[in-house]
Amino acid sequence: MTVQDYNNSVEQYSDSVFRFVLKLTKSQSDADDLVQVSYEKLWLRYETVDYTKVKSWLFTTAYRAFIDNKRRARTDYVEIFPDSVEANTSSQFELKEILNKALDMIPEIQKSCILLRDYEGYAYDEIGDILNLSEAQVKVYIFRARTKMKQILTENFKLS
Amino acid sequence: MSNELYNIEELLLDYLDGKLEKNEKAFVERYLANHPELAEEIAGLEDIKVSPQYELKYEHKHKLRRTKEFKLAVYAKWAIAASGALMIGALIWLSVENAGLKRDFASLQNKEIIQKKDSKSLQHADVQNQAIVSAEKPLVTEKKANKNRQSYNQNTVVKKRPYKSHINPNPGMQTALAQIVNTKETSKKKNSNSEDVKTLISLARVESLEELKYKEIPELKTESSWENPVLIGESTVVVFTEMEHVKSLIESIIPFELARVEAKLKSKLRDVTTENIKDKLKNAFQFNKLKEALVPSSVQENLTSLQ
Repeated sequence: MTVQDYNNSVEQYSDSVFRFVLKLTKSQSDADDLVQVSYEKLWLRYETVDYTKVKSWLFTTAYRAFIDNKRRARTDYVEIFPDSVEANTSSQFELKEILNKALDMIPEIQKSCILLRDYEGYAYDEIGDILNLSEAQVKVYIFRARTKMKQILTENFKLS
Repeated sequence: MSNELYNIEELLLDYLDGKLEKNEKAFVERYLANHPELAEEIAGLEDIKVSPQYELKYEHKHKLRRTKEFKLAVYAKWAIAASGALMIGALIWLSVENAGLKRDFASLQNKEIIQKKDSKSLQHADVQNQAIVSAEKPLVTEKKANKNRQSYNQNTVVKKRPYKSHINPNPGMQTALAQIVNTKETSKKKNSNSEDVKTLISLARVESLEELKYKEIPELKTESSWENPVLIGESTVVVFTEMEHVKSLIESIIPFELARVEAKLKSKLRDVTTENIKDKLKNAFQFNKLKEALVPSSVQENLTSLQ
């Protein structure tokens, strides 16, 4: 990869990486830091990274940095889920917004799988490489995540 | 049952994606026919997808962009910082070595004073101590050196590494050292006592686990491996293997966790005396158990589930 390729990757992928880690961290400042850390690491190794694989490299690095931070911050990490989605009951309420909020109600590993699948269109085996899971595990997590999200949707909108 | 559930979930996702072979599809459809509640659960599931919030953008792209000159400047900065750190480290090392030499000399002088006042057997023991403690720097007269050589050969204390100034047994330990040497005089168990002396000499002493990060800890060669025995505080002896891993592990954990582990270590081993120190070392807290103490099981589970 050249310096120009590195700068291209900043333009092309920094927004995607940012959206991914923002969903995981739920904190703008933490997400900013994680994007910066990922690109700093890429800059140190840009000559050895293949440009065709830089996107998955960035997502893998960002995810691992997120896990490291989480481990350092709290030794007993407990995921806290909101009791329910705060529904906007106005007539112009959007399904998309509810689905995005429902993401916060599923376990983090399932959320990561869904984000990589739906946001970035990665294949199941690629998601497994990024998150260090087998393809079968990824499929099961995505299945369970969608089932849970459908349940949340049904409870909030009484959909059949 | 749970394996069956796991496999059917994987199959169902492929079914919803339309990626099953004919026979697999038929199997799933039969399964769903037999489990109508599941069929209802997955109805419409393929439409449950989130879409990116494209309005969210990273606002600091300008900080991420680089040029080749930027990299060279960063290298230069790191090179200057590294050479500065090396110089400071060398100065500190030199001053510590100097302090260690002065301390050795002072302790030897003290021993000579005791020698004049006490009986012959104590004299002999102190000469032994001097020979062992200052194996690299003998400060004795030729007469004493000959005497030392005789008794030294009898007891065959062999040290593989020079005496390090940071190994500083407290007065209690020094007395214990003399006792062991005296014991060596009266008994004829050469090998086990020389092991005890070698072990005690090789013990490093730290006040807290924090010091392990930067303190040089000498190694003790056992029958099967190299180990690092450390005296923590007054009476807790811990044996580490893979010292570098211990140091990097300690660096990564937060301070109150270190304090918690120290308390745990100190409760494990108490009342270490010279008579049973060798046994205690054999049964001491090994590295793997320390790792468990430093990385609690709840975090271990999270890590395991990610792997």
